[in-house]
Amino acid sequence: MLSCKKISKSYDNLVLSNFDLEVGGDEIVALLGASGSGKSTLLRIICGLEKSDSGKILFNGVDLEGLPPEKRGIGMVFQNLALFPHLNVFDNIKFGLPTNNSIGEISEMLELVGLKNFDSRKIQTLSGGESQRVALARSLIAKPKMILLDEPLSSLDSSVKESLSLEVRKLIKSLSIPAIYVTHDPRIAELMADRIVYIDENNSSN
Amino acid sequence: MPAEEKNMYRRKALTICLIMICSLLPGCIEDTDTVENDNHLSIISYDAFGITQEHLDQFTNQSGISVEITRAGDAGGVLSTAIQTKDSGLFDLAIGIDNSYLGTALEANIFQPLEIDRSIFSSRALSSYDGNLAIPFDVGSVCINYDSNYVDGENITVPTSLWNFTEPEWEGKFAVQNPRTSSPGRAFFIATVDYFSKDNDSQTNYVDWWKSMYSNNVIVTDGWTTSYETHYSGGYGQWSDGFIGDAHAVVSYCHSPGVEAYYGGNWTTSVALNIEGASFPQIEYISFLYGSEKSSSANIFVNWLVSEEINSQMSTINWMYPAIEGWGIIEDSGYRWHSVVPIDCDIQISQIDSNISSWLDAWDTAMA
Amino acid sequence: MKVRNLVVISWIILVILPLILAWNQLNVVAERNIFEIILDFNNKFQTKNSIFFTFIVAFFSMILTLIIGLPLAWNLGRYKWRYHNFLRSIFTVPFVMPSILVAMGFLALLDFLDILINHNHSDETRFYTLLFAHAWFNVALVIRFCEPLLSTIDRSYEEACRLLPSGKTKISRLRYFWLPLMWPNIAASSALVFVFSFTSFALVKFITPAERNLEVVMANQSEWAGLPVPSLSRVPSEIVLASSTIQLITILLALSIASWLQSQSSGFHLLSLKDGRIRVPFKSLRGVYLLLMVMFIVSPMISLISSSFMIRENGSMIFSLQGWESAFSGSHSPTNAYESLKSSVEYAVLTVLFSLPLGFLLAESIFNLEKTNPKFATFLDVFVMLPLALSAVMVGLGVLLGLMRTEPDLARSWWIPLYGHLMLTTPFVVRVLLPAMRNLNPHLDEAAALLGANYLKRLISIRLCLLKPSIIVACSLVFAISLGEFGASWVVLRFTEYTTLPVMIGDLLSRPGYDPILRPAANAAGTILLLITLVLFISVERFRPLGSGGEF
Repeated sequence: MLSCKKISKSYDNLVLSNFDLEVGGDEIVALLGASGSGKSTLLRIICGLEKSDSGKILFNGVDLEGLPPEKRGIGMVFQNLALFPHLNVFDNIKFGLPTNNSIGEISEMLELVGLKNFDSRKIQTLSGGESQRVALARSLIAKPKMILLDEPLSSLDSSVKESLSLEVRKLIKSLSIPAIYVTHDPRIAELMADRIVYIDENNSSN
Repeated sequence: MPAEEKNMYRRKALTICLIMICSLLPGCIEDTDTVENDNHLSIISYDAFGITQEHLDQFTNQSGISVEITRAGDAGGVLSTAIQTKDSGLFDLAIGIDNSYLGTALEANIFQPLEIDRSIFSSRALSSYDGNLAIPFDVGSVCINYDSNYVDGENITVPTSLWNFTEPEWEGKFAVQNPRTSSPGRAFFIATVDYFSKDNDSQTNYVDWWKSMYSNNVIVTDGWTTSYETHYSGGYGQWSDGFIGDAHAVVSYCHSPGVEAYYGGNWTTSVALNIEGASFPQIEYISFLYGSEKSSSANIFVNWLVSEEINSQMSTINWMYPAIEGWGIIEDSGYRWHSVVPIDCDIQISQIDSNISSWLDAWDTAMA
Repeated sequence: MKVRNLVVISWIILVILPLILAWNQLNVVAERNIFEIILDFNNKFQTKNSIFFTFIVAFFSMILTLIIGLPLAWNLGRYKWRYHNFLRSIFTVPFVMPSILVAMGFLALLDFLDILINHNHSDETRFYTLLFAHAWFNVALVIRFCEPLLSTIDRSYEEACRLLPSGKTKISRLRYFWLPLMWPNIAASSALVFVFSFTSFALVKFITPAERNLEVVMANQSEWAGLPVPSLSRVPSEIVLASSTIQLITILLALSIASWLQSQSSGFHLLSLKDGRIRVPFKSLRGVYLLLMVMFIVSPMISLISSSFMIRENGSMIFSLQGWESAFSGSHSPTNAYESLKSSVEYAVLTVLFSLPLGFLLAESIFNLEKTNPKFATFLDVFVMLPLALSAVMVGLGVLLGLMRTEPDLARSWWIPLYGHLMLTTPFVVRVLLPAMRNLNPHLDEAAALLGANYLKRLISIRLCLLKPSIIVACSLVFAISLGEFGASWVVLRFTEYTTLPVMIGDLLSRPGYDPILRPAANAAGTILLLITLVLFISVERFRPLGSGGEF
């Protein structure tokens, strides 16, 4: 369970102000708000890529303060997916494979995301939807304790978005881990999430 | 991280380290034995010194002593380096400090005595200094050369005095070297100091002459090569890149026309100008540096350099007169015929050492 | 992180220490203060007009370089040519050519032109030749700064501009679209051209021997500067002290401007990964222009190569291989071309092995500081470039003479020349890698961290892999610069065992040229250097990714 208490962050202007958020054991929470409302910033703070100005983040009762991103066990799918352009599909996913696990899991994961036989494909040859699945597969094969998704479907057609959203929800649910899904599309939020949290114009939770 | 990945990173890191170490090893394994033992001499010399590797190999075969020569610019560079490394033992011998610098060198106490029989040298070679701290190995007079194609008595008259060069017919046609940056330039400059102190006109001195030369657009270059090769119309420079040929007279050596003839098939239009007292008797020395403990090897090398076998060939090895008695410029190809032995100025090295700084300052001001 | 800090501190010490050592020595001997000396500059032959000449040459060289370089960058960036990579390498190889050889090449060209137009050399002709020689050298900077951006600007932006009122004409598009986009790159390259022209040495010395810039002035005085013989060293010390101060302040200003401008210029958001260039045949007006520029670039090289096969004999120039024979046999020099080339390659390899990691860590430090402390990042960026601004004389004085006073044996160490090579090449590694780092998608590193990869794994598996093309470009640049660097410019003494090819060339050229073999032998050695550098640059060009590789 994730617990964010009174998270505040500002750059030149205030981005987050005393933001509270709780996410249950296998809950998918959609974070909805206008552009610039601090949604992505919150995700980056949770996974350790940025530090908050004040506030606390607890995961399963453990304070994450000071813990580097690679040690938090939290996965993230970026808006631009951040697939490694110099590696093919197999190697991208393998990058997320925990060290003690077998390589056979990669093929299983590819099948799970509907990309069987895509192992040797170059990233640059994938469609938008295919890229999104690879990014998800890479994050999930790492067996994170929680997954964060920062508008990963924003560049896709609405028809593809909807079907993919349901697939993503199904995948996450199968792993029984909490997830936060950032979007500015209320329709996708409704499809994906168990609960929707709004970040209002005061950059605080609602 | 699985074991195979760990091994992969380890292998990569190890490979990189090995490459670095292997590449550094050749440089790290310095042959210090060679440098420090008595069978190796480290010599500092000026850039233009003409002794070749062939000569040095011949010396090594004869004596069992290996030689390494390090270049340090010109004679001034050799002296400044010798002063800087005084007592360090970094170098054993210094080649090329000439008598225009010798006073300063002796003052700086950077030499040790050598055991050379001085009776083998010509009186000309011993004229500035005959002690055992600096042994002459070649001599030559620095004087003005002119191009007889232009200076033929009709177009331009042959000068009989340095004042002739301040006349309109010589405007912009005479090239000299900066005395602060060029050894022949420095030598000629010292000659002018002496020349004008001894001429019949007590009202003027070298400063006045140089001011007049400045007004007459004398060409001043930082080195001999630019004045001789680029500006002088009478030398080999006409085949060099960037040749201008606007100077019909240049400061060079009195035997430079001989060298031109030697390479030019006994033909040259360059002539050495013999104005009494307007040339400088440059004598180049080899010295044993303070801080070196290789007295025995140093003496062997110096004796070799001034031996008849080697020193007699100085006119083709280093384009200067031998220092030893009985030998001069070779006759081949008009080399000797076209060379002139002038009546040089007569100035003491101690006088140079005491006054050169103020002379150069005065020159700097006169030429601005 | 700690290793990076150590590297930054070490670099600062390595750069500052020779300066401090040199200044200290000069101050001991000098009797007047810097202002007094500068005010007296025009009253003394050694320094007369040198300040004015230095600034004038630097300024007009910069202007001429832009006039020649910008259209070239445009034609290379907006249009695709057959043998495009080959052309790009031809236009950029001049930057690493030994300047003394280029001076000879230009003088030979001047002779040829004089014959053609029946014109006599004059100081004015030599001045213009110098400007063109500087432009020849530095056009590579303009191309490297501007062409990557031009080649990857998405065409749709220009097309959109054309349909808008402010972009209907070429002039208006230039004014409202291209110049605002390109001005940081143009200004940054201009600043660097100014810097390199300001500190030019061999070209000024040989092409305009009647004039002196500050670098020539300092080189002339270097023999005695700082030495404990006041009668001979006072004036030289004062001159070097004052000249180096003027030079340092001017260059620091120019580099600061260049650094600040570079940081403004990441056009990442406008870039397209597709090649937006239009194919053009050589049989066009543009093609003719490009071929003329190729001729401008290769003509000094051709004159150098051809003069290596000419020797004077009996009053005329004839074809001969004697120069080549002498170069390879070493009959007229302390070493031969094989040994010198071997030394050159050894030093070049060592330089690459040291400067690449050093430059990488410095670039990473600057890159990370840009996010957390931009002001210090700019300071460090300028500091990294500082060795290029320091007079070789100052560094040589500080390092060598400082060492010779305290640890003379170190003066003959093999790593002394390496130090000089490192100082000169590491800034270029930073100039190549830093923009490439800026252009990397920052999320890639973050994604890898979130997948559990530690710093080392992210460095090796992600960053170094993605930076590989730029690293290869940096390697080739470092290798070429090191290969062509006159060790003597950094090392006062030239030890035979460390004689590199450029030093061998310098040796041959420093002797009186009575012997007709000397000059062709020097040109033969120069030709070897030229051809190796050309081959290196051409073969590496294919690794340069479209639009990246940054400013070099």
